[in-house]
Amino acid sequence: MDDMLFRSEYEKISDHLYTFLVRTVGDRDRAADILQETAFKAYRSRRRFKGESSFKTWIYRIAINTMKNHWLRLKRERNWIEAMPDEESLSSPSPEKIVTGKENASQLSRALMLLEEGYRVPFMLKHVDGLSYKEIGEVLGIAENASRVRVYRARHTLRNILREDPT
Amino acid sequence: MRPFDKDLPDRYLDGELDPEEKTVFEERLLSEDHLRNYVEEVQALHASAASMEVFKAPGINLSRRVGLPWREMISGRVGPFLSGAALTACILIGIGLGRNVLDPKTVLTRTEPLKIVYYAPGARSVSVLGDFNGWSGEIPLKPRGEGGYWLAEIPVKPGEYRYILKIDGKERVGDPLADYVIDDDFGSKNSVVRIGL
Repeated sequence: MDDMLFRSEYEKISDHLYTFLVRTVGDRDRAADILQETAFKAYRSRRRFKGESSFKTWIYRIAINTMKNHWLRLKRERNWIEAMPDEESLSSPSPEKIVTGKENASQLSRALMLLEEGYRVPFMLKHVDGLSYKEIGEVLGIAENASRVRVYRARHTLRNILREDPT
Repeated sequence: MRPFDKDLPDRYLDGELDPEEKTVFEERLLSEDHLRNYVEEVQALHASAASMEVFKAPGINLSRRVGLPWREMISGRVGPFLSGAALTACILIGIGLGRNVLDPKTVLTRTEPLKIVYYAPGARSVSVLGDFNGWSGEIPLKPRGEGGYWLAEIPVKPGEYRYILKIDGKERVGDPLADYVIDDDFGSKNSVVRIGL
């Protein structure tokens, strides 16, 4: 992928990618940092992009990995416990974790922030960013069917959240 | 709901049922309140998700992994210097156009000719004025494709260079992709790049 094509493709998705990061990490500054690092890594690797997946899938995958690294760094540096959940912790949604969250503007935004990362991310990739289950699997490095299950569970959990908090 | 079809509502919502399955499921929707409620609530959820606000991405700098300059340039030192459409354009696309990405440790050691790329859709002309030729004349950037990109390649010896960009012959703007920005002696700001140092 040459320089101009990279920039053109990046321009098409940058707002959505940034929005995805903001809604995932819940902080615009941190999202901007992750976006910067993601773009840097992607640009540096652009010649290795062979079009085997879509540009969007490719750069979202880089963003996810970058985000995980940020989480790990935060966890290491600040003993931050809210790192990305592992597979075991994703075995079932945890509605009991639904506590407060009145700070977000919209009902769905609020509900999303109450959802575990392992469900929030696939849900947003599917219904905000419009990726297919196959693409979500590629982005997250999981099987297509696993991505499908996570989105299903996210729907169920979000529905429960919104039912319990209809404000 | 029968155990074997627990994913049926979600597959219906995703449009993944075959025509026969869909017909049967829609008949069930008419008679099974819990199914209908689920489908309607999740459809509303999807509609909300699709209409969520999209935030404008900040400009980025492809020649640096992380760091202050890209954000500071957009929001601080250069931001006030930019104006109107040019500012918007820079923030949208300010991603180090036309420059090779180097290792962050050697980011200031470019040896290629000075490339200036600016995103200014709708501009009639873009030119650069700088000390690489003694501020003795404007060098026009040429349109690159149809996407609003303007490009100039200026052969320079290794050194540090200051310049400004002019849009439509008058509007002076900073280059958000410069290495840094400094005040000049006339109350304005110069973009600065270092080549081959």
